[in-house]
Amino acid sequence: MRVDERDIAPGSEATEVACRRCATTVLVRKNSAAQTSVQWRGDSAATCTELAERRAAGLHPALVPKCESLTASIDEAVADGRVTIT
Amino acid sequence: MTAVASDIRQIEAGTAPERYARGWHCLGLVSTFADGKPHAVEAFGGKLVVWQGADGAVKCLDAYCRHMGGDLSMGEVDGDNVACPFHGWRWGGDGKCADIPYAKRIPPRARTKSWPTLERNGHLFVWNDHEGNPPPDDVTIPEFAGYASGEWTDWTWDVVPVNGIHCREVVDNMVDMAHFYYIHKGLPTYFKNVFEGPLCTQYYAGTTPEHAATGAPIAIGQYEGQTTQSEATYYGPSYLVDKLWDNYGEMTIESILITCHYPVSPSSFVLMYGMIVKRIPGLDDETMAKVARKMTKLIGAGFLEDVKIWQHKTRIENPLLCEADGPVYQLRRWYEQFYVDVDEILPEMVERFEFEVDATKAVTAWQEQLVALKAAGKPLPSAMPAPAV
Repeated sequence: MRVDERDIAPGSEATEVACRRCATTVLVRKNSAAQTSVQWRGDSAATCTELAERRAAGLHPALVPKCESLTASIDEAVADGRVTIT
Repeated sequence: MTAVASDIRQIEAGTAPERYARGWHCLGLVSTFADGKPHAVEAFGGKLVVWQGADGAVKCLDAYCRHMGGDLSMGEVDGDNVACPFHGWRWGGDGKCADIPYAKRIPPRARTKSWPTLERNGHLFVWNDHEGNPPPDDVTIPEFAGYASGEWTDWTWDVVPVNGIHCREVVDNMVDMAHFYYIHKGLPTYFKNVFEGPLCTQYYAGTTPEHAATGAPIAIGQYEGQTTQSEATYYGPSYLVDKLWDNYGEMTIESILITCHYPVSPSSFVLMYGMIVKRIPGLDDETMAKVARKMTKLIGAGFLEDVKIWQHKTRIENPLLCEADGPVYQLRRWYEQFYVDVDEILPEMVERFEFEVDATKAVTAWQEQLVALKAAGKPLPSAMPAPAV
């Protein structure tokens, strides 16, 4: 399968970020302060508490734009230099 | 100085798949098929017959009678069955021959291909699966809140046949931030995609050229408080539900725009679009219908611009993306799940992926252009109220 040369792909510059709230770990890449890619692995709602709550309420996780806790964890990782802009 | 050949980016056009996507495909409004007559639909490389039985259910079979090849869509409805015009064989929605009026026994192999159907929100769907499996329970089309109780207007509905290109072009637009300005004259201030399972969503907020041209500050990166907000989700490979909020001064118009298609051949498809608008207290039916028609007309003009692009562009497997483009490759990775066998679906096709575009440079540059146009007294492009495609 073709991959995006700009983005998260085998050998690319993606960084693992763990969520502070639950066990979810995702791959994150940013090419600017405002651009963010997040690659989840496995069943998102199986590990992510927020998405699990939304799914339990009958909402498909694709209808949830983001997990607030994970977004905060990513912002922290950017602030402390673990995620750099590439 | 001339560039050396190896520096020149080559387009890889690739070839469109021979298969048709697995999933629910909308064929149009249920009411179109609910007149007690058989209807012909050319789709999935063949011809289908669609009819409503006396039991009220809409059914779909391969159009050609397995007896001598008669076209069932030229026949008639008899009770729950469709009757072949050639020799009168009656076929049920389950694909079994129900009766041959001139024979005592039905041959044991008298079974044709049937297409599972689904009716939702006034739309008719058929399930296509190249492996022939029935639709899984968790893959379906949602019911729209308030549709059944009349909180929305009736559907507007338009049909546009598109030839010479694969329907992936329609789906590609889901991630194409910049075309909203160049084709639909909208300025996206917020643009994010989420792919997960068989669903793909685009979150869009934007403003109009008229507003941008005033030079007023635009809150780039903000989803809330823009002229248009949109949440558009593909439920499977071909049915896009776009929930729209258009703010006109104090008033917000809430609408649902459907953009869907079904393939006719690997290089042609039928594009359809329609809209319902949430009734506004104090506005009568006629006024609401007028609002829906006006919005659909503007949207339709935008679709025709899309179609013009598709009909002249080349297929391209290796798009050359800049940092402000959306995730075209990841979208196609998601879309691929509908073309492979179920046991060949890779985790990366269905695992959650989020991509938020940075629209800062784009909106800043477009606003500068618009301000300059206005200062020069030139006409501004007029915005289409519908993003998503």
